[in-house]
Amino acid sequence: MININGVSKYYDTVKSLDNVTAEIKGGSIFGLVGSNGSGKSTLLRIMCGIFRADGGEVLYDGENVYENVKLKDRIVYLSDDQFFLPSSTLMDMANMYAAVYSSFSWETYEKLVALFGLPKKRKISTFSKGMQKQSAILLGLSAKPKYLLCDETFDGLDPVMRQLVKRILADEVAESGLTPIIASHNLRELEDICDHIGLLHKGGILFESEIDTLKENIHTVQAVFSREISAEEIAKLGTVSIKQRSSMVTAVVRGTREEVAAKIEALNPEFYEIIPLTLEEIFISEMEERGYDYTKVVF
Amino acid sequence: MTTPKLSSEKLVDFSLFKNLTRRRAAHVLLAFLMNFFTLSVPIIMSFGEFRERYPIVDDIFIRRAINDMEGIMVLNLVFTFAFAIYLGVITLGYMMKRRSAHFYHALPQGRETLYLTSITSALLCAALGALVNLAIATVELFVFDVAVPEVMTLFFTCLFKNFVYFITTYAITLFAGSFSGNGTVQVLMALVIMLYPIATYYGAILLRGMFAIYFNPSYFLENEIVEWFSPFVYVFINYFEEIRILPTVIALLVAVALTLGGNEIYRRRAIENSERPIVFKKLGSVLKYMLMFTVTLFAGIFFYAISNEGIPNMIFGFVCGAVLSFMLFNTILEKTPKAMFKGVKGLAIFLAVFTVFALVFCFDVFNMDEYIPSEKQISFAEASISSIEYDNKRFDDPEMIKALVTMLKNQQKNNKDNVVIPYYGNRASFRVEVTFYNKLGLPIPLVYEVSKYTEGTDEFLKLYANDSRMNDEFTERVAYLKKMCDSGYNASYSIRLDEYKGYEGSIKEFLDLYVSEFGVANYDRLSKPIMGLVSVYDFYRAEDGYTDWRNTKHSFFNELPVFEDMTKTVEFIKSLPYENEQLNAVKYGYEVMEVTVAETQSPDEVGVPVPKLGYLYDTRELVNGINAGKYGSNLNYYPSVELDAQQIKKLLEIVQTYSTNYSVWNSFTEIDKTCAFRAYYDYIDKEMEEKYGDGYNSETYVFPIGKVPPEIKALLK
Repeated sequence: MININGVSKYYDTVKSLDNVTAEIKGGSIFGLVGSNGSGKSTLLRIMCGIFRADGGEVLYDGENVYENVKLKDRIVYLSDDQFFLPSSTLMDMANMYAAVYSSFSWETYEKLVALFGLPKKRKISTFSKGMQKQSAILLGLSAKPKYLLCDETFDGLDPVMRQLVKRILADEVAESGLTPIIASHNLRELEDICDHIGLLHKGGILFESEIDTLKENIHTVQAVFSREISAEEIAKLGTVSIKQRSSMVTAVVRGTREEVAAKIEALNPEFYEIIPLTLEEIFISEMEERGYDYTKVVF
Repeated sequence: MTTPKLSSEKLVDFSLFKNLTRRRAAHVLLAFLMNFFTLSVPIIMSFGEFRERYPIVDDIFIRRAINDMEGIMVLNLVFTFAFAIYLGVITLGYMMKRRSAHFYHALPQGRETLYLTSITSALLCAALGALVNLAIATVELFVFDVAVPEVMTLFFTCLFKNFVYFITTYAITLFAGSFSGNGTVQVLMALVIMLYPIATYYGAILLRGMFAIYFNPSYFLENEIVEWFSPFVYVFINYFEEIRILPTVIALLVAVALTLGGNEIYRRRAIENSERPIVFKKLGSVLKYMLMFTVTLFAGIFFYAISNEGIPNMIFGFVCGAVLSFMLFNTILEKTPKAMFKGVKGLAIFLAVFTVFALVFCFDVFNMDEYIPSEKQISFAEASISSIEYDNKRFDDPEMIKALVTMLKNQQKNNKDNVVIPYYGNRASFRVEVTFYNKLGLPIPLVYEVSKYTEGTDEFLKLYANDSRMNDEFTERVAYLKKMCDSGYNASYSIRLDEYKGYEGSIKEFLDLYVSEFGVANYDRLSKPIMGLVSVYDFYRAEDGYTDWRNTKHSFFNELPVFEDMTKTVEFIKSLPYENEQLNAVKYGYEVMEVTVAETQSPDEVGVPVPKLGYLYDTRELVNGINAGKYGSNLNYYPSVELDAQQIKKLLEIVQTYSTNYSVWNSFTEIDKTCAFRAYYDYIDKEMEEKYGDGYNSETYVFPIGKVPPEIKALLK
């Protein structure tokens, strides 16, 4: 369990994080989404103990992470801008990780090297951007951390490799209880892998929730009525937003599928259809409800 | 927010240490090569054929070998310094670049562990390279058969010193790195730490001394404490001295303190500020203004020096220094020239503060320069006068302190009243450097040009010369000279009687004669007219040609004065042949070589037109005025008499004789205070005037009691 308690961070006079509070359960995949400059990388760097928070604290199972060597032994941070030792090969880097991470697994390393098909003795500086990303993921996972903090990890990976990484992460979560926290500005990348998601904007978390809960509790209803129906009647459904074109109504409604079906049937539509929302659509709805223009927040 | 305690229990992580050291193999090689080319190779070059040239181990062998070894060790020292700085940069390289800083600080290692592990690993790399070379060099010395105790002692002593300097420089670089955001700034900051104190100190003292009349900058510039302001200076002064335990221990303790201090700063370092030139913003500002202060100081001094000592130019220099350094440091700190004028208010405040400093410190608005403590405030004094000084200059005697204070106060009053203006270098005055120590032990260093006409001067000179230490040191000096002669050394010396003559050879006969006639070094002896000087420069032994330069700091007793009454000595040195024209065969003195009468006349300084007279003294100069008169009047310039060209020529010839024979520099000579003779001269040659500038020079002649030439006496009105 990670508790981010009122974390604030300033760069000189510029506020990067403003009293961020969140709770990340262990064994889940947490997606941290936000636009450029929203503070994702800063939050991750505080979470892995690189930066010291100017206010608040990050606790892992009740322990503060800053300068906590034992705790950091269970955390691996994969930067968006990976660093490799000068002129190092994958093997050199593995040796470095093995020297500092007590749980480093050569078995996992060998397995992942084979899976990714990366050359062990070639200088990493000669790798492509995608290969370097793979190397970082490979090394991070070989350290067998409990928490994997990934900053824009999927950026630069091709779709096949992206799926592979997602699968590996999912397996690690299932097998060893790994908790990956993945920061990205691209919601679509997180949609099919994350259990939880938090939206960071202007240094603060606007909201965070389980994706399944989000998806289960909001739906789009498209209904056709033979009679004239007023907006007030539809609003009684618990709508988040309504679009009405003559007899056809499209509304985003809060509630489970069954609840929404019951509510709409009560209005006797000629026809109706309940469609699940994409994560992006859910975000749009949530943002709009909170008075934000989603396109300005995420894109 | 307080810095949390590190949870790491390990100061050095062995796994990380192994990993780091393995990756630093190149630095082991570099350390090896650095030492190889500054130690092992030079030893081969210097000693490879040494035994062929010097087959017997004797004094010559040892001296030559030591000489060569000293050169090698200095070379090694220079590169050791450079390597220490380089290694310091490498050691903290991991925290400089943002990417690497993020990487390393995300690892499960405490900062203390990262820091100390990196240091340990770097030191091991340096040690490996150095130790291999130490072994090679030692073997070489044995193979070349030069491993005599003297050489080996020097070798290991210097190696140890180089090690201490390496550690100190390395620690300074680490300390600088703890607050620097990149390697270049780290190097600059290391140099700032090493040079800033001494540069600022010297700048401030120079500035203070520029306008002060009585402030004695030499006290501060030559003070022993100065060597502690910079490792460079300490090494420069003490490298070939014996190892001193206390300074060595202090240097090592400072190195440890700086290393640990660096760690403390590092613990407070915000990793997000990596790549910012100075990681701590406030520290950056402090450093900026500190450096601006020194740059401003030197800019003012520089402009003052190049502009013929013009105060407006100096002020312009101050302003330029402040503004330009402000712009430069802003650009460096903010990494963009756009930030040049950021914080102009700070510049304005700096200029205001600097103005106050300059007014108080340089232009002396509180008139501190004229402060002479009263006898009661003085605990003791150190005093030395020009041409004759003790090694031991300390005076605790209240009578002596009172005489000093009285004389200086009188001189100051005379200067203010414009009664007597003694000129440095003339024979009517002497320079006295005094440092009064008050009851708290604080020094008040002063330097005065004291006229022999000033009240209280005679009393002071008598006390000074009659102090038994004067004779003790004279006796000691003569005993040393004799010992050198008895040890088979010849002297390189010069004699100034009618003119300078240089000699090489034994001075034993001269010394015996001299000592028998000299008597006791006291006021009675020293106040007599001096006929000449014998200057002993150095000693050598003819059999090996080796010259041993030593003991030249005692200006008096290496310059043995020959007094008029020492007739046998005078006769003896007059009989010496003019031996070696190459050695110190310098024509000295105001010798009239050519006389021409100028076509035109022009008013001289006192407004009396006199004929111009050509006068050769190394360069062509023109005497355009001659004055003879008495001191002690309220005039800056003495009564002038109008002479024709022939009279001037005659007078100059007379003065030439007397100035050579009787006006040899001696602060104690009793002079005839009723008479002074002064000549003004100028360049006759237009070319010389263009080269050296317009303006006149003057020379004042005074004469020992009873030695005033009648021709000059006749001119007095």
